[in-house]
Amino acid sequence: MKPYGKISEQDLDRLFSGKAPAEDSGLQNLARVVQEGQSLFLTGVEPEIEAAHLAGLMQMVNLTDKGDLAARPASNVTGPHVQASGLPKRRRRFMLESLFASLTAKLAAGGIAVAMAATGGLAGTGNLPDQAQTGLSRAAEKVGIQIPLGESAEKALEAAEKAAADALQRAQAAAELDEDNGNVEVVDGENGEPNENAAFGQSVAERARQGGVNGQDISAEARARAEERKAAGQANRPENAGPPANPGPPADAGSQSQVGIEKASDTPAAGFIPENVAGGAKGKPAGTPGGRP
Amino acid sequence: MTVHDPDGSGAALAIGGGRSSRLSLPEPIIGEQFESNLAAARTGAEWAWTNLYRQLSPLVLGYLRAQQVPEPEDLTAEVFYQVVRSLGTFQGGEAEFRSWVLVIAHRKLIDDYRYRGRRPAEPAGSEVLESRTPTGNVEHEALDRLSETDFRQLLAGLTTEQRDVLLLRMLGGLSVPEVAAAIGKRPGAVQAMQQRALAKLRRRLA
Repeated sequence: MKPYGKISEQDLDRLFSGKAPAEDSGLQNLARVVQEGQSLFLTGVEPEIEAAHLAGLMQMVNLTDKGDLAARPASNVTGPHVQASGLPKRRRRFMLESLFASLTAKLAAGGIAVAMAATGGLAGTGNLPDQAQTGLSRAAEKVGIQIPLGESAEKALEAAEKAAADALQRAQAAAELDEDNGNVEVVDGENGEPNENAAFGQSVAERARQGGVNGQDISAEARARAEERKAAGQANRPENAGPPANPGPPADAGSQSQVGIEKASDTPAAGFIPENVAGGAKGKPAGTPGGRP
Repeated sequence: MTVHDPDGSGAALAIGGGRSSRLSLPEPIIGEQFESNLAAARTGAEWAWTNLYRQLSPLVLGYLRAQQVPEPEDLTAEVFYQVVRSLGTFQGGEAEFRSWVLVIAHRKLIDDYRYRGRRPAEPAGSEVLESRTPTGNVEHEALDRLSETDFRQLLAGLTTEQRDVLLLRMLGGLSVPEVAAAIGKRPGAVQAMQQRALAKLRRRLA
């Protein structure tokens, strides 16, 4: 096989730029191949494909531009034109997701801002009509903007908070009475009870703001919380725990305002856990027939 | 076909023609014209992006077609979407910009092959070549089809990297250092690859 010498860089530059090689270079055949390849493949883009590409390109330019959204109204934004070649599903989905992922976020925040501006600031002070105020508040909350709820929603929220607090109190009362021998009583101090009730009520209220609550669920949760606290009280009994880190104040028989445990009889066996508090919300629901009031 | 920038300076930018014309590598926009065009593109000017697209899309599409990408037009669009997304990171003149765009094209090519789980080692059959839009000149068409077949047959004898080097130089107009950056090799390795590739071609042509 005839060996071919190394081609100089100068000849290569001429070769790849499509220029004719020097006559004595022996590269005429190669030059023809290169020129033919350039002629075959460097043919430009068909007009309809070019139009589709440019339309998609400008969509991408608009989405990546960091300018004011008002300068490019959302209503004028359209999806990319259908390309003549027909994008495969993978790329079509990728393109649409890329194009609209940030656009959706911009529209959500921008739409809320536009709506608030359109109300002349009434939304911010909670003075819109009831339904509009509540709807705008809930929509704004999803993009991190806090706007007061409508009047009816506020009332419903208050009612939910009250119902939750009532449910917790009933559950606690039921937990205190509903145990096997009635020999162990867990009494929480006044300092802990109102705070826990308030925190529970607030959590219920928050859930109501977000989309409503189920009364039965709230009652069950309140009962479970009460039983957990009862179980915690059981675990703190001297025969069930090690030396207390903080012995606490001496018991005052006449007062119910201190954290402590009162025994009405001899100590149950170590490790005893009333079945109604084991593992969570068990036992008779408060207020059911046959259950403890 | 030419495109003028809207300020009426009269500068004509050479762009690719339709499918019936044959192009050599487009002449670069020299000096200030490119800088102002690029600056306008950064601000989102449609005319600037149109110019850039029309200047470089023939190279990108031609390279991808020569690499036997099943859907070269779609991949060309993805290349330019990436250019839009990444334009903020680009710095340089026109030659660097062309090189940068072709590097993106090459990497999109690699991604496409990985997605499809293969890279074609054999040239496309004549039925694929016949699916290309005809130019209207039957004799010329026949020569073109035959030439394209022969061209692909020639490239089939090269390794993947040798083919990449030749096509990036031949169709992309990239220099050895630019090709090296595109394929992740040292310039010396690129020079060696192109010499071996051309030697193979000369043997087959002989």
